Parts: sequence; structure tokens; C-alpha cells
Amino acid sequence: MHAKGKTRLSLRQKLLLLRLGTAFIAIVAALLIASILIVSAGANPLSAFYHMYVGSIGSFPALVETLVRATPIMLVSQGLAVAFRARLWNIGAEGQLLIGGTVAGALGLYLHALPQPLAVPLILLASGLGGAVWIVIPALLRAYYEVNEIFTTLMSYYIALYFVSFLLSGPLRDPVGLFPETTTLPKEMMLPIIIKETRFHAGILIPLMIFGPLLYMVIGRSTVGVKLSMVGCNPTAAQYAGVDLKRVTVFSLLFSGFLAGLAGGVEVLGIQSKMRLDISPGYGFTGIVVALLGYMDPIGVMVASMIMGGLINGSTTMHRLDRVPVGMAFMIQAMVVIFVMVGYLLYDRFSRKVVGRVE
Amino acid sequence: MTEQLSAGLIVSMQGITKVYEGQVLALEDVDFDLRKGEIHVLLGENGAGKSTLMKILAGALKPTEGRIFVKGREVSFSSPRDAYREGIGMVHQHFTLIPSLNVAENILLGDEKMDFLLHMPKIADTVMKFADRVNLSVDARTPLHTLSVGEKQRVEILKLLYRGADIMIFDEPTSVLGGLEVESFFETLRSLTAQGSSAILVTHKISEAMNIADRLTVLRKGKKIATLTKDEADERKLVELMIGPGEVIPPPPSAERKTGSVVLKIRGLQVFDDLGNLAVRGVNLDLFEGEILGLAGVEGNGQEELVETLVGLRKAHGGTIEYQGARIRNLKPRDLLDLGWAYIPADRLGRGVAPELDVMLNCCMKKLDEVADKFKLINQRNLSELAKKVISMLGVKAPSQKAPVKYLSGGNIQKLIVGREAHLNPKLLIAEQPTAGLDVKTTNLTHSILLEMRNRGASVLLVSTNLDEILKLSDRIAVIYKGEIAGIFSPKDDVGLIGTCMLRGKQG
Repeated sequence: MHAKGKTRLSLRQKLLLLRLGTAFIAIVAALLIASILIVSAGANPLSAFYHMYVGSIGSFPALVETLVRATPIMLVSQGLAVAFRARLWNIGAEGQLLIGGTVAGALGLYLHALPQPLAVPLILLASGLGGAVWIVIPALLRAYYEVNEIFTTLMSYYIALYFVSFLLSGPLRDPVGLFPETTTLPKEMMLPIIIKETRFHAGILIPLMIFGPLLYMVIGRSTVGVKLSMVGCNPTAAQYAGVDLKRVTVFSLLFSGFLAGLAGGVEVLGIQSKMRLDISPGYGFTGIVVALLGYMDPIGVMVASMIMGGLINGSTTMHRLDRVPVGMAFMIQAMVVIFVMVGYLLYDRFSRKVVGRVE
Repeated sequence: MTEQLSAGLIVSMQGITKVYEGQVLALEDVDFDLRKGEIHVLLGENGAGKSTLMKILAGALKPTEGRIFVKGREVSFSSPRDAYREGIGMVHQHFTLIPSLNVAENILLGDEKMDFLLHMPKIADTVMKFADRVNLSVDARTPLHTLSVGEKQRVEILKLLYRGADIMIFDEPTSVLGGLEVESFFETLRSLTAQGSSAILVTHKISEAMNIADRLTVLRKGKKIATLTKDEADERKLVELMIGPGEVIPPPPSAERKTGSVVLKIRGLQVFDDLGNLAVRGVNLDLFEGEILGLAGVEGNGQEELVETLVGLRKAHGGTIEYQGARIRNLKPRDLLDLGWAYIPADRLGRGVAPELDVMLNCCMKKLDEVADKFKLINQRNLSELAKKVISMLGVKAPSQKAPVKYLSGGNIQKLIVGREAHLNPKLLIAEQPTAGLDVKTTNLTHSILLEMRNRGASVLLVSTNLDEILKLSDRIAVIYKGEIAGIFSPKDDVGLIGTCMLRGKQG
């Protein structure tokens, strides 16, 4: 069944190259259109993109900051990649992230008594569970009554937003603070800094060293991964192959909620040291884009998270040095979404040619 | 090109060669023509290039070399829409209908003459009148997803006719139709060609080809072997032309049958269809150990609902199903595996495979645990070995084991499914139209697999609209008529008797 002599690459490698190619085209096309906007804002696109490079990966501190920025995005998109594979569209990761952050901000104040190596993992676990609990109802409605999870998860985001907002201005509010936020956590409750003089905290390692490899094994190598894809592309056939649809639905949605909640917890214990409503400039929504840009692939979403983190940090630098509006990063993000969709079409079109045919 | 017109040629394809990416030569220097008002049958085995040739004519594929003339003018199509403007329309094997819309909406979809604002009663009326005129009666307001496969196909044909196509291409049109429906389809076809339309029929069923054709063209391995008039052809000759010399495979020998006890016992089963009508009205049926029970019947008599209930897609309203003495009413699709059942569905893309996953995973999807270790990690070597076994059962042709299944031809997908289910070594097999779309060779192979299974002691419920197939394989034949079992026959019984029972129900 192997290629006929001439070609060296295996089919899997060819398809991977095609994936990378189409993702690359999507980003380049988005940047091209962005440069038109940059010109219209009165700046030089070449200088702007240079500063974007400098601000994202141009120096060691910049690289660390990009990692800091990418961490919550990576966690969210790793969770979403699992759900999206089964074509379960959790759109409310932002809400689950806020809940996770709130759990961390609150528990941090109550668990002083425990030693740090015990308290911190416990708090993170709890914030993950908080995120998972927040998606239980949409998951059950989807599994048992086929209620569209896009609506229920999106609506559950608004409930989370206003619920957290209530907690922060009421029960959990720092009694002496000016803003609706929790009391600043003691240093012992925070994730330890690993590289001195930077914000490189231990939480950065969670998506890189724990969930990255875990998903690589689960999605790429295990029967669980195959079952997810089977449910995604033909639930009926999956049932006949012995897959329990309800279990897969509930498991993958809860998993995505867990990681989104964990992202909130890591952000609070790693960077913010307290829960505020603006701990996330929309990481939960950016995670959706990143999961798609990374083709729901374990390695793909990690790379895409770094790209997106770099894009956000780089455009802040661009904003400062070239007087380009900071909203440009979000516009580029949005354009990446559109072009990723085009990329999917291109992939579909060309994969048929790559595969070849036997009539 | 007036000489073509004067010779009555409405389509002329000359020297058509098609090379697919990946250097697969699908067609080599093929000539094909169609006369005005004729039915031209294109015969060939799976992979002979019939579909490719017709997709080129319908504008869905571009030829690598060759010229095409339609109504005397040279044409070059870049999309099916271009072909449609020349009056060429194609009914594909996989339907191109939208399940959530009703019949009328499906027919009018993409009609360029439509008003911008839709007036449903008028549209439905237009479609009904048109349908009556061409003798293909439908209820225009029925949602498409509630129709049987045969009825859906009728809608496809109607759509084509409604758009005023006068050159019609049918890709395996009868593969899913029941006997009666085939006859009425042929009648429609004849009356249409009598009015000046022309039709091309792609098939590998020789008896049907002989029945309907004015002329026949045989393709084999991408080359044109011969074009014959009906008078020049006979069945023997056509088989030889299609398969090639010395490759005719005799039908499998039937073996000694050992019947055991009742395995599956259905009593008073009642099932509703999607519209809320009782489709299965108290079916009583026994399936014995080590037998093939053929369920014969004209399509739409409840066999679809009966099977869906047995495989767990539809809930029974009343009655009981017992398997080896235990009641199993309203089970779920996934319970089948635990019971040791296998299922070959008629809707192969919808129920049989995960189209975007590769060939290997589709081959092994029911035995994932067998190729994984205790941590549920898949062993690539085991996966590939099991896939090879399944592929070799019926000789699935795929560009690669890692190719997504959706890029395989319909026949090869069917081979994969049959192979996979057979490899499960089931105790009970429900086979729905198992050989639809398969060529002669693979059909025979499938039949011997079913017989082998029976000889091993497994029970097979064979649901087929192809009476020849049922007669050839079954130990007993149950005829279903209007949701009831109208009679149980032996394959040695008079075919006329069985046919009458299928058409009129219980006698006397």
C-alpha cells in the first residue's frame, strides 16, 4: 500500500505538511490584511511587525512574557481540543475560567494553615473542579436531551460573569480595598517563581509538562482519542462500535470545563495574586480560536497558543512604538479565525489530491 | 459536426483519458456516444471507470485528454452547472438531498427560475402535478428524512426531470429499489425516452441491463471493451466481456445445513414509523441457530422499521423480542456488540463508517480494545495487522491504509463494512442489502462469507430487495407485507408464489 517509489514522504507526513501549510497561509493572510489596516492607521507595517517580533520573542524577557500570556490560553485550548474533537462546542470556557479563578481567590484565603506544597495543588484542583461543575448542566442536557451545547454553554458564561461579579462586590470583596476584588493572597499561597527576576511561575509548566504529553498520548495514541473522533464524525457508527455516546459527551465537556477552570486558578495563583473580573482579557474565547487554529491537535494547540500569546504581547509593543491601536491584536485574531476556516476548506480540497484515489 | 447530428448522436465522447492525482489511470482512450431517444447502458465491474466517465460527462470531473460533443457542439465543462445548462443531469449513487427540507423544497432547490419569495402551497402543487405527469407519485410536503431509500431516489429522479434535463445519467439507479419499484422506474424511463429524452444507465446488473437497454457499452479496467446493440448481446457474453476471459467465478456451493434451536424469537412486535403510523403490525418471527432467514418484501412494507428496532435505533411500541431466552426489547446500538451480533447497514455512510477517519481505524473500530494495551494505548502494529486482515477479506482497494474512508468508492466502503462485520465472528448477523453496489466477483465472495457463517452455526437475517439473492442464500424465506409476515417459504417453492405474496400479501 506504500507510495510508488518516487515519493519519500508517508501519507501521514504529507497530510501533516498540508495542515501546516494551510495554517501558515491563514496567519500570513491575516497579517497581510492587518498591514493594510496598519497603513491606514498611518504607520509603517514593516516597522510595526518588527516591533511585534521584538515584543513577543525578540528577547528573553519578552519570550517569558509571551509564555505567561500563552499559559491560560494553552490550558483552555487543550481542554477545548478534546471537546471539539467530538464536535462538542463548548463556547463558554471564559465563564468556567472566571469560576475557576474565583475558587482559587477564595480558597487561597482559607487554606493558610496548610503547607504550600499541599495547598497550591489542592487549590488548583478545586478551581479545575469549579470549572467542570459550571458545565455539568449543559453537558447533561446535551447528553440526555440533545440540547444544543453552543447555546447552553454561552448562556452559562453570562451567568458566571454576573455571579462572579456579585461575589466580588459582595461576599468575597476585600473589606479594605477600593475595587471589587478579593484580598491579596499571601506569598506562600502563590505558585513559586522558577526563573528569578521574571514572572516565569510554576504554573507555566502545567500545560507544557502535564497536559501536553497527556493529550499527546490520549488523543494521538489511545482508544479514547479514537472514540472522540468517531463520535465527532459519525455518532451513529460510533454507537455501533460500542461507544457510549453519553459518557463521551459528558466526559469531554467536563474535561474542557476543568481545564478552563484550572486556567483561571493558575492565572490567579501565578500572576494576579487575587481574583478580579479582568484577570482574563477573553482567554476563554481566544482559546476557541486557538483550538481551531491548532486543528485540535495536542502539539498544534500548544504552538498556536504561543503564536497567539506572542501576537497579543507583540501588538502591545507595536501600540507603544508605532501608535497602532492595541485593538489591532484582536482584529488580527478575528481575521485568523476567518482565514483558518478558509484553511480548512483548502485542506479538504487538497487532501483528496494528496490521498489519491482508487476507483 | 452536423454529421454527428444527422447520425442521431446527441452526445459523443472521443478519446477520453483520465489520470487521477497519484498517477491512477482511471480511463484510457475511451469513446462513448449516446443517440437521441435511446437508453444506453454502461456496464462494468467496480473500478472499471464507469462512474469516472459519467462524472466527466456531468461536469463533475475534467478529463485529462479527449473531446466531448453535446448536440453537435464541442463543450468543456468546469462544473456540473455547465453540464446542466446543456441539459445533462445525473442521479448519483449517494443522494444529494437535504434531509430537513420537504420533497417540494428539495426538488426546487437551486432552480434558477424560482421567484425570490416562496409560496409553499403553490410550490407543492406544481411539484405534485409534475410528479403525476411523469408517473412518479410523491407527497410533496413529506419531510425528506422520513422517506425510505427508494423514495429518496425517486425524488432525485424527479428533481432531474423537473429541471428539464433531456440527457439523464443514472449511477446504479436500481441498487436500492425493490422489484416493483424497479419495474415502474423502467416504465418511466421508457416513456421519457419515447418522448425524446435520452438516458445513460450505469450498472453492473446484467439482467437489468438486458431488460432496459437499447445499446450497451462494456468497460473493463478503464478501457472500452465493446459497444453492442441489445440484439447482439446475451447474458453469457456480457459476463465474459465484463469480467474478462477465464475469470468467471462459479457461485459458492451450498453446504450441509445443521439447524439448531430458536435463537431469536419475535412475538407481536409493533413499531411506529416517523410519521406515527404503525409500520410493523404484530410481527411474529423465529430465527434458528445455523440458518439464513431471508426477509423478502417490496420496499416500504416495514422491513426498515423492523431492522431499526432490532439494532436499537427505534423503540418498539409493543410485543417482545427474545434472544437466547432473554428479553431484549429496546436495546441500544452498542449492546449489539456485547450480545455478539453484527450489523451490515444499508445506509453505509450514515451508519457503517466514520468517513473522516482512516481506513485502518474504520476496519478496527469494533475491536479497538483488542489492539490496545491495558492502558488503552493503541499498538500501531496490531492495528495495522488487524486492518490488513479485514481489508483482505473482500479485497478493499484503497490508496493507502491511512487514507480517510470518505475517499473510497461506494463499493469499497461496502467491502470494508462486510469484511469488518464478518471478522467479528458474530453469533447473529443482520445484513441489510449486503451486496448493494458490489460487483459480481465480490457479491459471490460476500455470499460465500454469509454461507460460511451459517455453516459455523451463526444465524443470519438477510434483508434484501433483491429476490434472486434471497432465493440463492436463504434456508427459509419470510415475506413481509404491510408490516406483517405474510408467509414463510422454502427457497424451493415456486418463485411466482413468493412474488404474489410480496405483492398481495396473505393468500386465501
